[in-house]
Order: sequence, then C-alpha cells, then structure tokens
Amino acid sequence: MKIKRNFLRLKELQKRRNDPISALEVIESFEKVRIRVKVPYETAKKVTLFLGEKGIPKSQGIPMLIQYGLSDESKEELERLKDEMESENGRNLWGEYAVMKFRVYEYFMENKVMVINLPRMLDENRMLKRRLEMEGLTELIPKDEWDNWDKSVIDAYYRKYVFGERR
Amino acid sequence: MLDKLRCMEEMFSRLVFGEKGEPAVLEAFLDKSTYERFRDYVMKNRLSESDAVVKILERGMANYWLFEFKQMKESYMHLKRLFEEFKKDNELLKAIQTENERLKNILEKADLKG
Repeated sequence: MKIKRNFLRLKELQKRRNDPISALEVIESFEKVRIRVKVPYETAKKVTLFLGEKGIPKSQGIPMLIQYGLSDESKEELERLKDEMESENGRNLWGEYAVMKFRVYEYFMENKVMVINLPRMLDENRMLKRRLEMEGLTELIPKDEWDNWDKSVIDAYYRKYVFGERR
Repeated sequence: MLDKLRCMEEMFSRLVFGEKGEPAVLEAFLDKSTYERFRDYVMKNRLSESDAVVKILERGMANYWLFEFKQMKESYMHLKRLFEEFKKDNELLKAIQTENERLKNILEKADLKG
C-alpha cells in the first residue's frame, strides 16, 4: 500500500492560490491522507456497481463506504438498528425527515428576509413608540423584548440568517 | 485549465481498472481520524492492507442502509432542534412587524380624531 500525504507541490500551490475555490481544495487536501491499495477485480466491480446503482460518485462513495465499514457498532447494535429501521416508526421517519428539512428551510428563508429588514423594523418600532409618547398615549406603549436590543443582537441575527453561521 | 483538472482529478478517491480480471487500484482520501481507525483495524486483525480494505468495503456495503438510517436519525434530531429555534425567531420577528402595524393604526386613528 502506498501512503502519501497529499501535499501539492509548491509550484502548483502558488499557481492556485489566487482562486478561492482552488485554495479551499488545497486546504481540504492538507487534512486528508491518501491511501492506495490493490483490490481484487470482483470487489472493484462490486463497489462500482453498488455506487452506480445509488448514483453516488466514487469520489464521495469510496471514503463513505470505508467510513461505514470501519464504524465500531457491534453486531447487536446493528441488529437493533435494523429492527428500528424496519419498524413502522423507522419507515415513517424518512418521510418526516424530508418534511422537517423543508420546514426548516422555509423558516430559514422567511427569517432571512425579516432579518435583512430588522434594523429598519426596529427603527420604525422605536419611532412609533416615540410618537405615541408625544401624543400622550403612553398607556398604549407596549414593553417589548426588543426594546433593549443593541447592535450585537442584530449582528447575531445577521450572522445566523444572512451569513449562515452557526454558533 | 487542463492542469487544474488533472490536479483536481488527482485529489479524488477512485478505482483504476487494469486488464479484465486483474486487481484494480483503489485510491482514497480519508480524513485523519478514519485513516487512524483504518491503521488500527489492520494491526488489530493482522490483515494485509489490501485484505483489510476489501473487508471494510464489504461491511460498508452490507450495512449501507443501516448507516444511512443512523445518520438520517441524527440529522433529524438536529433539524428538530433547528426547527424549534427558527420557529421561535420567526414568531418574535413577526411580532415586531405586527406591532408596528398595530401602532400605526392607533396613531392614524389618533390623527383623525385630532
């Protein structure tokens, strides 16, 4: 087996540094270790067919199968997982997962639009409350959670929804 | 462009077939933790690296759907937490909008009276 750290040659690295996507690929490749082994023809054919049937490219499928094959679940744990997967709840979970994914996406997009308008919405809210005060309608001014929001709160919302950063 | 494609191709995991029936070459890029587990597996089971890869691939294929199911379950739990969090934010952000409309109506009515 040939094991080689996948460092690109300095010349290639310099050539690719200006392109952000290439730069990311280079960084990613630094964190990977390349293995190179001979495998029987039948195994190679079987892996090719297996991944082909599922529409998974080999570039993703081979490391994934190795990762799955190395997982430390015992036979009993796998049996339990199999029972759970074949149960009614397990079968329904695939559908629930798809629905949940869509609903999370919907909320994310809706919140993103509102967060982009958040500074304007808060300015408007403060202005309306000031006007009510000027009109002598102080009893109608609600006390709200967002009354004391400062730039850091707005920035946190921006990071979450506009820049998609997770804490 | 060709250089770039060649360079990218070198970084992909792949199977290179030779003559029909002859062993193929498997090349894979593994993250460090997977690679270390692979090394441990080879040592622990006293297998050649080639035999170890075959056994590992067989196990990966045999249990593919189980691992997919396990990952989906974990992902579902994560999505559920995100859903609750996004829903709470959504209600709060909508509350600001709703309140602005309500306060505008009050002020409009006050203006009409005045």
